[in-house]
Amino acid sequence: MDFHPQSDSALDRLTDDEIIDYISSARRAGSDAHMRQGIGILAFRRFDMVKGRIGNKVGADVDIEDIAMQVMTNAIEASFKGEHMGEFVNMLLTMTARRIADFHAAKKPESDPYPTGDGGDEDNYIAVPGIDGHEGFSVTRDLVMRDLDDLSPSHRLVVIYDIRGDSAAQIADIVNNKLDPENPMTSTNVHKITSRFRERMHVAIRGAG
Amino acid sequence: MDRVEEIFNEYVASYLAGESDPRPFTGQLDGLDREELVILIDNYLTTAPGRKWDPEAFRGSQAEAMVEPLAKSLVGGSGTWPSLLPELRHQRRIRRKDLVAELALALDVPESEERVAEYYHGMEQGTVDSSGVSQRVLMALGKILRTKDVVLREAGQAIAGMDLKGQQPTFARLSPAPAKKGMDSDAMAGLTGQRSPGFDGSHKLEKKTDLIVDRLFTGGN
Repeated sequence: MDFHPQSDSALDRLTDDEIIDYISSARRAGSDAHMRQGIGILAFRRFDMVKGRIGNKVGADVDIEDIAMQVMTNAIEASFKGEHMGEFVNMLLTMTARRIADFHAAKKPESDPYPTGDGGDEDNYIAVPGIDGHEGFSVTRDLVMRDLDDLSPSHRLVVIYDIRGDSAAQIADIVNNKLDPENPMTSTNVHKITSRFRERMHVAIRGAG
Repeated sequence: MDRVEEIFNEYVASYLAGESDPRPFTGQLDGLDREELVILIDNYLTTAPGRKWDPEAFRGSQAEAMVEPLAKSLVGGSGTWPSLLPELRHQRRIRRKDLVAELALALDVPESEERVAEYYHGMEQGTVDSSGVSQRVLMALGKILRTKDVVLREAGQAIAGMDLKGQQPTFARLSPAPAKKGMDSDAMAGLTGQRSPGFDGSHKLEKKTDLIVDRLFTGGN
């Protein structure tokens, strides 16, 4: 296969996956310099996104640049090992999310996984509203946050506003304005999301009891 | 505009200017407001534009620091060791010198630490053919780096589709090692014609344990 070297600015106009193809072609052609050129442009393009997402989920004392470098490195290597299908950026997002989860799992204390709100620091509890006039309940912030992490941004935002006490119509309106989701949120969607959330909280608490 | 939105907009401006750490921004809020900001930032980052190429900003950046080990992983015969080994070493906060001393000790060749250092350096540089590195070395290394030898073995597999066109399999000596007077037969049998980079055959008289090290790092099994 012929390899056609490109300028930095031409490479910068390519998609991530086209840059990976370029690196691959340069490697096959034995052109180390162009392989390095492609790696540099791809790493530079995506590093801030990875670093930002990690920084968004870990404490101020964590060296996020170090973790971001590891994630980027692993993602680029994986793309040459045939370990991923689909777009590079999606794999990068998945690997970043996994790395954040691993980070928290490694830090999590083993005892008392689901404290139910008896005693302890009151600031650490969140009151979840009830359904249709039924009384609400209180769960730990940790339990809520763990559940939220598994949801999409729009669903997470719905839960946050629900806990704040906004109505379903208000929540749908705010989420549509702030996130501009592909499928606009409706009041019915909001009800479904919040009901499922409350059900999961109940199950988690029952399971812990 | 509420406070959360205001801070979110400030973060976006900061991100586009090249500073992507959100913690100075999320740290300004607490409770549910903070959670809301975290969600908005997370959502933004999943679709945020990649950073436009800027050679000035690239120079000395973390992205630049990634290039060398990645390039070595892609073209060398050591799989992803060039990125994995320094990463594990960094996580365990072990200096290379100390790791080498521990490894030489674990392999029962403390007097050949220098030789072990040459090979280990080659593993990090991607110049050691991973198929030649014995299980014993990987087990000892795994213990020091607190990882499984199988993880190291898999990482050492050369990346698929590799074609060393224009590249030398840099760690392989192109001609067999010359027989040395008094060389033990085991060591001789283990030699596969590989030698560490930079070895010119004259810098020092080889120790008997050096030959054992050669076998451990090039003889496979």
